[in-house]
Amino acid sequence: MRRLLLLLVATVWLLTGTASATTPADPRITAAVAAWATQPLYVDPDYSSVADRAETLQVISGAKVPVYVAVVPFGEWFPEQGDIPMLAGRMAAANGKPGLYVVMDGDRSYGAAHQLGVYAPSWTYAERDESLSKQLSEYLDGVRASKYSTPKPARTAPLPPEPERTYPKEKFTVGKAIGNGVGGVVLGLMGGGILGGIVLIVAALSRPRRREGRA
Amino acid sequence: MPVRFLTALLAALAFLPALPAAAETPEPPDRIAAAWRTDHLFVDERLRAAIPATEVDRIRTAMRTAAVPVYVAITPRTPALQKIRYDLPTLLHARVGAPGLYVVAVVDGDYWSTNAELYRQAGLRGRDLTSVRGDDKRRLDIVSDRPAPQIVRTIQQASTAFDGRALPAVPAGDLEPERPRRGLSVTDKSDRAVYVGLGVGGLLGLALTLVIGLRRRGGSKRTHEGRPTDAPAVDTHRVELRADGKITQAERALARLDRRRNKTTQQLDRRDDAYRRLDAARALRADTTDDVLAAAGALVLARQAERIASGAALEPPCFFDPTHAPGTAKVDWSDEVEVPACQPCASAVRRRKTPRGLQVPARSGLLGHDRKQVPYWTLDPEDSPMVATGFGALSDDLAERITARKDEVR
Repeated sequence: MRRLLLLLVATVWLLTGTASATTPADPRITAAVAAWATQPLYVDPDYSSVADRAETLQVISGAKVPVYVAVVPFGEWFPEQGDIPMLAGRMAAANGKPGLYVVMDGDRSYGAAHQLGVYAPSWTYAERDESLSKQLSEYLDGVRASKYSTPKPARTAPLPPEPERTYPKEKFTVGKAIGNGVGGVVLGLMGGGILGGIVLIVAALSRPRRREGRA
Repeated sequence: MPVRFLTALLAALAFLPALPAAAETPEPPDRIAAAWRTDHLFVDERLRAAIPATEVDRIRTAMRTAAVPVYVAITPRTPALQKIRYDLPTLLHARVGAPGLYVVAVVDGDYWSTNAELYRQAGLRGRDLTSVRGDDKRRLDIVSDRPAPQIVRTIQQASTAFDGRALPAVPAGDLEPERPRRGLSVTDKSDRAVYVGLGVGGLLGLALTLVIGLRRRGGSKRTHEGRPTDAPAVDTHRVELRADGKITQAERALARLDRRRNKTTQQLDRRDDAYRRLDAARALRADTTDDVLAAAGALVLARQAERIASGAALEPPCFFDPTHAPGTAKVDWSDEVEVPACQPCASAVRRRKTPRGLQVPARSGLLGHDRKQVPYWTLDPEDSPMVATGFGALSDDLAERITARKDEVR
């Protein structure tokens, strides 16, 4: 009995320990991987009202590459902190099977190719009231077989922070002020000249009338 | 038995992770209400790993110090909440059934929004939470990129609404950073330099154009009007020549009259009148030169002297231009004055037009530097007897006036 208990504890530790080592403890990933064991579509319970499961499964089955879809909430306040392709990569790593992993929230579709030599669009936006199957179909339309990209695991770590670009601060110098002022003076001279010409023409045109009126 | 037990246990372990997913998931309000049975702060499990402990601790501290029981739910925005988002506090209160503050914070992207309702037992104190929120001037300045600031402020507002305690000041870290006043940008300054230049250039351009245009016009006018001054020598000279010719003719006519013997009294009177006019004409020609008024006056007087000496009837000059033919027609002039005029001038007046008249130069302009050609009758009558008498057209005393003036000068 003691052996049995030890075996049980070891099994539980093995299962939970290895899982936490490879992927963060994210309930969305756990639930998606569990669902993908039976079908390549996982829909978060909160998204069941917007998911057309049958049609989406049809789109998945019609794809040229293995596709795994997870319809879950994501964003800046989730563990991926807005890096949705990384969430797709973590799901792929947890699932362990080659394929195109697509994460959707009803408005946007993000994807990551895992051990698959294809080019996948980073993301696509849905149109208003567009069905989930249509969104997926449009995303998959952008998937292209690539001869140059070798199959490799999807990214599961955040991208290294980009060095902050610094630009030299633009200064307003006396030279600029004079240059712009002189340009303005030239334009103003032309405008004033045109205005003065109009005034002189009007004055010249109105003079004979005044004379006639006086006569 | 142990083998069977082991098999059953392993089977249970294998299916254990799949069970929650397969089970029917309750609706969000039910999920939250169920969680509140153990903890009044519900953080959605999908967000739990990403909410910093500092945020959670701040919320818990505020919940503990509140005047009312506080129920807080932190959840992501999902389609399941789409229609019931604003009703969630009511739905949750309906499920929990206890008085207190019900706060639901929903995150969409990186934006947090809070919805709250205060439910209290019957009593005589307190204000409405919405009223307190409305009075909170800084409510719109609180940051929305974190959950704690809005939730904590809502709990403070509810405490104020419940027991009237003063609303504490919002920590500086919870307020949107004030945008530093950076003043004018480089582009703005550049634009301003251009506008200043435009203004200065525009004024300069306008002034220069007007000055150049007016000078040219003045120059051309001077050239045009100056013809009498360049050619006044021509016009005045012509009039002078005509006057001198007429003086010679008058002298001959008078000489002929003088040679007559047995002159009648009338002829003697005519001779005297002719001499008087001839003398005045000579005086005008002798006194001034290059004066068109004097030359024209001399012409008129000499012409009259020649006619009188020849025995012809005296004819007044054309009022408008004495160098014209004599004024044989009478036309109405201003103020019911009737003046003699030559036929062309008379017909012009009858056509309600003013004849051009004898043009003489006059000073004009602000400083009197400009010379302008004007009809002679517009000059001051005091300055010239020709103007005063209309060259004898208005009154036949031009010769007398000239003689009297000559005597005055002497």
